[in-house]
Amino acid sequence: MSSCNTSATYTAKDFKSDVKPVWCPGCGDFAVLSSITKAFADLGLAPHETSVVSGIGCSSRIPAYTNTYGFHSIHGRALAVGQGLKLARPDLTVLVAGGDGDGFSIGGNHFIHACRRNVDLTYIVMDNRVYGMTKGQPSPTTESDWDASAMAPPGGTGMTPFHPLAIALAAGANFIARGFSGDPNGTAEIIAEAIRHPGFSFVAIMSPCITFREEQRDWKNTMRQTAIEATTDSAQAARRLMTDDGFNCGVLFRGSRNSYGKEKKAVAAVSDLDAEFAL
Amino acid sequence: MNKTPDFGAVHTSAELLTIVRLMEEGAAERYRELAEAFETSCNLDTAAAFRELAEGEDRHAAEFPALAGPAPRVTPWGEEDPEIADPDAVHYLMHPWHVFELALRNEEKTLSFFEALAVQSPHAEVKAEAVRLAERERGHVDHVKRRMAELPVPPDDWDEDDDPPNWEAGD
Repeated sequence: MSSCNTSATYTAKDFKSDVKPVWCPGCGDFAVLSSITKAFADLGLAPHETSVVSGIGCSSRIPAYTNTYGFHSIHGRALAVGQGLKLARPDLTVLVAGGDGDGFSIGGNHFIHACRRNVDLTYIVMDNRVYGMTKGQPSPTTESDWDASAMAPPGGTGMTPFHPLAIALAAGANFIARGFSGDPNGTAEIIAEAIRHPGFSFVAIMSPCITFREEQRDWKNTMRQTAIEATTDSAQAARRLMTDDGFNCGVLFRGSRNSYGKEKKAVAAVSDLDAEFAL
Repeated sequence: MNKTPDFGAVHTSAELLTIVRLMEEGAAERYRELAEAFETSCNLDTAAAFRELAEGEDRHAAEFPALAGPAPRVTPWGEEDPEIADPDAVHYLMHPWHVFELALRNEEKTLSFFEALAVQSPHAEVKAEAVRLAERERGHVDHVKRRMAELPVPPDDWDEDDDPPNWEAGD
């Protein structure tokens, strides 16, 4: 991170590092990176007030490409690191990012309990329904009959795809939205709103893997802006999400739970805690 | 995700020129990003073609006054800026000829937008500016066509890879 002028106004470019992404040409994650940096700039944040934490996978390389504090952590554990960071440094804007395999398989349990805990951070999952970095295995969000890769079992996994938005709602996430990498400006607006919203904000961004799921190029014709207003009623949100076909973009749920940690105060001085560990 | 263009969203010539500068800067940034992606994947001829386009868009942007204040929030073309290349409209084996074919599509979309704005804008000042911008854009279209004509047309099997990243089941 190279910038810390608190009086400056930063542009999206200021939030991009000099490291060039190694993503495949045409990868949707390029646009997601642009949306994230645009959201930071639109919110008037400064690089030294911002952090990006990730796990492992193609999309999880994103901390290297942002000029903020960052932590490229371990597989599936980005949310654990991100929550710890936010609780230790509540002044930082914490954005946790990764892919569908990292977030919903290896990190599936962290995802559920991060929704429950409701720490004030934003979790972005770049969902391409495949493990791209390891050459095309089905992920938790892959269609059950997808077998267009030698890395998939014949006939597909036969497993019902994970429904991250519905699971996030059931587990207690305070803000739920879906974006599309083919709409970078709309996605930047959603990310900015997610960051502003208190508590755990979950944004699933459909981001095509044009190498292992070439048919996802067609998403630009199937993704649509949702015609409905976001609801604050979790029962209504549940009905909507359970009938959702996965192509509606926009903010789908805005909750009103208090963020974890707001009401918590230290019950002992650090020196008292130290004393307990004295040998 | 297309939104309907709002031809009345821009009220003055100055506002339009600011937006056009942003369009050109956005196009340059996208082409530069694609150049870097192709450099990373070692398709250097294609990377050079994208870099040439990025430098061209930089020159186009410099023809307009620098921003004196905050950029207008309006996007009269709807959500998709016609000048900016679709980030997934590329293939890792594409040739420089394809790069200019992609650029031609974008320049033609931009030309169509200015032509439509010249007819449909409710503001006389904007209409007149759009006519000038359309004329300028015709020059860009002609330039890209000339560059395409100078390049070898790729063979039919240009996207065949002997060692593909993703082989079909049973291969």
